[in-house]
Amino acid sequence: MSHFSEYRYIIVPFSDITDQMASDSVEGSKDYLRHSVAGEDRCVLKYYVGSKPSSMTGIDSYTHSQILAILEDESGDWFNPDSVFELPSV
Amino acid sequence: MPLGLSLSLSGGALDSAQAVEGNRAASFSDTQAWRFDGASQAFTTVAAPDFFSGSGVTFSFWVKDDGIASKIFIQQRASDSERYRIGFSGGYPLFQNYASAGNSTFLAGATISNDTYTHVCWSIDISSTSNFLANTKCYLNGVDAGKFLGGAANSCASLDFQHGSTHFVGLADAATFIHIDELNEYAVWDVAMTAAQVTALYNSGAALDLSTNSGDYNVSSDLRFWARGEETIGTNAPFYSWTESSSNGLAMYAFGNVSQITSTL
Repeated sequence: MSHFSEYRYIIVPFSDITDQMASDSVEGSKDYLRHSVAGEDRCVLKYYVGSKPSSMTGIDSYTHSQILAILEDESGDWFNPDSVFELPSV
Repeated sequence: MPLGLSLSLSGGALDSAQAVEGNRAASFSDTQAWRFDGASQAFTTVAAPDFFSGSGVTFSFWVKDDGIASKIFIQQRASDSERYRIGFSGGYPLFQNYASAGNSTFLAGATISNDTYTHVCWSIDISSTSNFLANTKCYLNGVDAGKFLGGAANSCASLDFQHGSTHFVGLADAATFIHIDELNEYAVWDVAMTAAQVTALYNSGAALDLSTNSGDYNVSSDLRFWARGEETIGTNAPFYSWTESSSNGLAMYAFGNVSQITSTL
């Protein structure tokens, strides 16, 4: 079971994030968002379950486990190989 | 672009200094821990701490996570080539430093287990490159974890461990947030602790009041940073860790409303 059931996550192209949307998110600001590392520049925002802001209407929402599956997909647009350390061969 | 994490932190911290003074833990009682969602939650200091100004540093924390064996989640990073990071690879504890003068890596020789609360303590000797390799140790639950495969992977090409940047918890690199189920009692001292001191710090598996000397734990005056789950934080507002004052720039900023949960330690 996810430990973050109080949140829902959305993925939005950075260029489409309005000030209102950023303000309505838990993150609260465009400055503190996670960006994709490949493809179109997209960001993750989250809101509290049951309180989806009107500024996010029409955007697909993900549970915590669903968003982690996207963000941690090593073949996806969010995974930075530099975020892990490969053990050397000895 | 990656996170603009350093853009507006200093001003916010200073403006809120008075408000956060009251957030310090009044007395010691370990009841809460931090939880990071891996999407947007992290901590950063508001300024660049100078932990490596002496001959050594000790990092200590309790952690529990379902995939901790392959996560890096503590870093002080000015750039990809100027940074140090702490985490795990293949279950092995990792301390890694990149500097223009040369890189250093230390992998301990025992592995951490997923889903098990573990006390992790890095005692890092930077008095010389040879001492780094000989004396740097990682302790898991108070026990020296040794060196990775006899030290074959460990190196020290420079002693430049200080990076003029903020100190992050919950980020592996510039913008990769790391999911951690529980992180508790994260602390930093500007001395390399001895084995006896680390044993006392482990305290048979119970969190210790780090602000007071107790038995072989006699380095409370060297404590520089202590982020407790009991701190009161606000959304996108800076707060002080237990040891901070408004003058030393080590207040922390919580991104994405970092979760505080009941500690299972």
